[in-house]
Amino acid sequence: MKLGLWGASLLIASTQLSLLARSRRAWAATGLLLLPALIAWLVAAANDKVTPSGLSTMLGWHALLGVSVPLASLLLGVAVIAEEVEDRTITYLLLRPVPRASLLFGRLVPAVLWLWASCAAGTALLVAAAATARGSDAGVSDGTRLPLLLAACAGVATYTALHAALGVWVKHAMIVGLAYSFTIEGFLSNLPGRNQSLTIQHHLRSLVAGTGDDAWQRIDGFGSTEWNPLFDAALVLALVVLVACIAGAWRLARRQFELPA
Amino acid sequence: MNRETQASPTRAEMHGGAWRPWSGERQPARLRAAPIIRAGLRIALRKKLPLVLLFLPPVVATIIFSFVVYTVAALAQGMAPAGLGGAGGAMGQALGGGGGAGDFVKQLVRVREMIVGFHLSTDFFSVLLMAWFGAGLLAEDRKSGAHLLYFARPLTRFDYLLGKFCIVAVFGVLGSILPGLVIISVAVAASPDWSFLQQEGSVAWKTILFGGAWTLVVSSLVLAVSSLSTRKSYALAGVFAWFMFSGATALLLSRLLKDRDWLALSPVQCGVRIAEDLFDMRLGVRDWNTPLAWTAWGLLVALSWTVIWWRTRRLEVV
Amino acid sequence: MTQAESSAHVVRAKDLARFYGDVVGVCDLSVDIPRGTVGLLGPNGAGKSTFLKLLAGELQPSRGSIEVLGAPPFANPAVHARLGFCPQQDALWDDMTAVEFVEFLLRLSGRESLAARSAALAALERVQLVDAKDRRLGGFSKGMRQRVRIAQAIAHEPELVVLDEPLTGLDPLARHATLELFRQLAAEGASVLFSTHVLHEVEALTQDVVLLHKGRLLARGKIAAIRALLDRHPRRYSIRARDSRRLARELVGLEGVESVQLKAEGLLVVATRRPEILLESLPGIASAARAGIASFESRDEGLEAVFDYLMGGAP
Repeated sequence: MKLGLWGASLLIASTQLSLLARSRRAWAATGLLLLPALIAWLVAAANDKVTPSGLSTMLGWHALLGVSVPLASLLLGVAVIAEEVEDRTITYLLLRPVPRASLLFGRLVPAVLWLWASCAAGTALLVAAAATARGSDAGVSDGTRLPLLLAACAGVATYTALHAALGVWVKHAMIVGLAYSFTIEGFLSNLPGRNQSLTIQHHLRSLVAGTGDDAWQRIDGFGSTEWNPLFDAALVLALVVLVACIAGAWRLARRQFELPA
Repeated sequence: MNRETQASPTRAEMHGGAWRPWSGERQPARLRAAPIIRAGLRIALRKKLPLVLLFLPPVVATIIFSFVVYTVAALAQGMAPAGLGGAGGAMGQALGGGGGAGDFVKQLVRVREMIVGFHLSTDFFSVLLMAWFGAGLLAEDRKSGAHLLYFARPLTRFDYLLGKFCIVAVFGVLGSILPGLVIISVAVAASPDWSFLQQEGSVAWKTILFGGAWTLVVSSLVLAVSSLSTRKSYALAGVFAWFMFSGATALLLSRLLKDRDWLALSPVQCGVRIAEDLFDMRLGVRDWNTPLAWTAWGLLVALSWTVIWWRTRRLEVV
Repeated sequence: MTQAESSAHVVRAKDLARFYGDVVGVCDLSVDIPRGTVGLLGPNGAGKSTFLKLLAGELQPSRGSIEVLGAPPFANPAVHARLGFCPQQDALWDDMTAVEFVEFLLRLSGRESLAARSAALAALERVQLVDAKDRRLGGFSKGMRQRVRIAQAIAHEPELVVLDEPLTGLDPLARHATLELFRQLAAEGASVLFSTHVLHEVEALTQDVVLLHKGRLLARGKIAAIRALLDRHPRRYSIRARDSRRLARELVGLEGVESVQLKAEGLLVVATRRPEILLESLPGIASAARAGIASFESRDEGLEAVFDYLMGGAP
């Protein structure tokens, strides 16, 4: 029985999901996404002035969306194809009678699912930790936690797809990915002006701005930044995922890998 | 040689362990880490593209800053390079030239400030250099089993780690101390009667002290992350994750808790504070204490070496 | 080329070349490899691994063409369904167990879950790893890892099994068992193409070899036939006789004999360009001279000698 694109993708995905659970890399990514919750908990315990909504929005915006999401996605996204190449195990996959694109999809989907689960846990724990803060305000509202979860999930999907495609195209995907995360997503997204709309980070923040409540106004520059409309931001992110998948699959179908012995 | 063997040399011996540490007499007074350093640097210098890409920004910055420092020093004497339209020209005015002799000291202070500004702006590039060339040093040895070759030689773990540290440190020195010294040399040469050396001469040793401390901190961190990783790319990601997370957390906590001492969580912020204090400058972040910044750097170095020492304690075992 | 000719060969390469920048992997390689068991030989850097990677479809040719089982192999699922490849690199998914690894690859080859499981176990049994089937690959020794790689290459019962240095890292017992496995595969109708440095073991398995040197084809065919073509090197025979001096005197004048060397302990080494005359005349000469031959053997008809001659040395 010959496996088609989706059959092979499904088979690879199911195996990959069980492998992820045993991988230190996957747990490191989860750890990165849980780190803001740990910081929130420490701050809430150490200080009695900080408020729940202040803590959750600040850490959610800067630490979760700004640092954890890009880095965790980089860690798992690059592993989708580039790590197989680096480990020289891609031979086994390329020389099986399945469409090559199934290798990309079959390994990308579990990575995203893993990160979604980690994001859900990270956001829930962050909100729970922030809620223990002793400063007085209205608490963490749905308008804070749901936009944060939405943006984090959209973020890991977009970044992971991007880094996975990068792994197919370039030799040192981790290094290129780091440079991209550091300079474009970390630096450009925080510059004033329209340039930041060139970053994924801007569109993730636009998702928060489009669905969030007034609690987010405490973020510096939140009110003065011209955010994308919700639909446009979602569309841009979806397009990035789509283009990354198509470009990655197209290249993988043609690429040969020179693996050292 | 043990006593039994001495007594009867033909008698067979059994050893319980598969590996024994090297024992014997080492050559005294010789830097046994030197071959590791030489080999490491030779390998690092073999690939030209990363060298060009990573050294280009500090080199360009050094040239630009040297030019600016030269211009400011020239303006302090009431002269200006012709290209700037003279001391009274637009560029000369912009750089604060054209003032009287009373402004001379101010101009020298400006040169010092520029040197400090240069240090802080090139810190990022020196981190890049040290991370790139240092991230794989322990990780890849471990992955490929190369450390077994090292420990088959009369080397101690200290020699091995010293060798690795020196390789990273060389790039730290090239990225942070050397450019500073070049600019200082330009300032000295451009100032009349070596006045920069006489009045601001301490900047040179402070540059060495600051650059050396920064190199020690970053090199230690890079090696610690490398010792925790199984491949260079992970170690690189780890180093950058550390800088990104510590920077973001430090800023957030200092803002949330309205206490600037939290900035000590970030090695970069500590660097800013230490530079301010060392060079006696004001960059606007004065209300957190300098000893805390030094302590934070010291703790980071201590933590890093604890991790390195712990992770390399059984390197001899496959 | 007729259909019959095409099906007689599992691999057909024409003007095949593969370059890595300035480095030549293989160059102008035209070779047809027949069904059966074939050894691919050559010194380090000869281009064996590059050729096998081209053949397996891991790499694309820089020039020329290659057909495996009648079709170009690169990114061709139809070829990969009929091909089993054991790569040289010691790379496995270390977090998987042996049976999971083979089973997963079998599923990708299109086997149903249960069938894949039983085929994986059967393959592991053939490489004598069934006892370690549930152990993580990360904890395997080098030899065990090599056997797992062989298992995944044969598990889906491919028509053509391609193995890059399959004997590396195996102890003598495992080596023997692996060669026996190749014999069984050949008996079952599969074609086996493998590269190795262990010449005497190739000789024990097959007489059919392909020799590469510096990326080019040096020789192909049966070992004896290749030796016969090496006419610039006379055949050398060792003869041990009771009266070797007398025998040497008689042999010197024989047609085709180029030299007769008398070595220690009565050993004679005779070099001749007409071995058939020597073989025909020797019994008569020995009998007439009452030399009493104790042993007679060829010194340079084996693969090792052929290999050495082709590499430009002497056996």
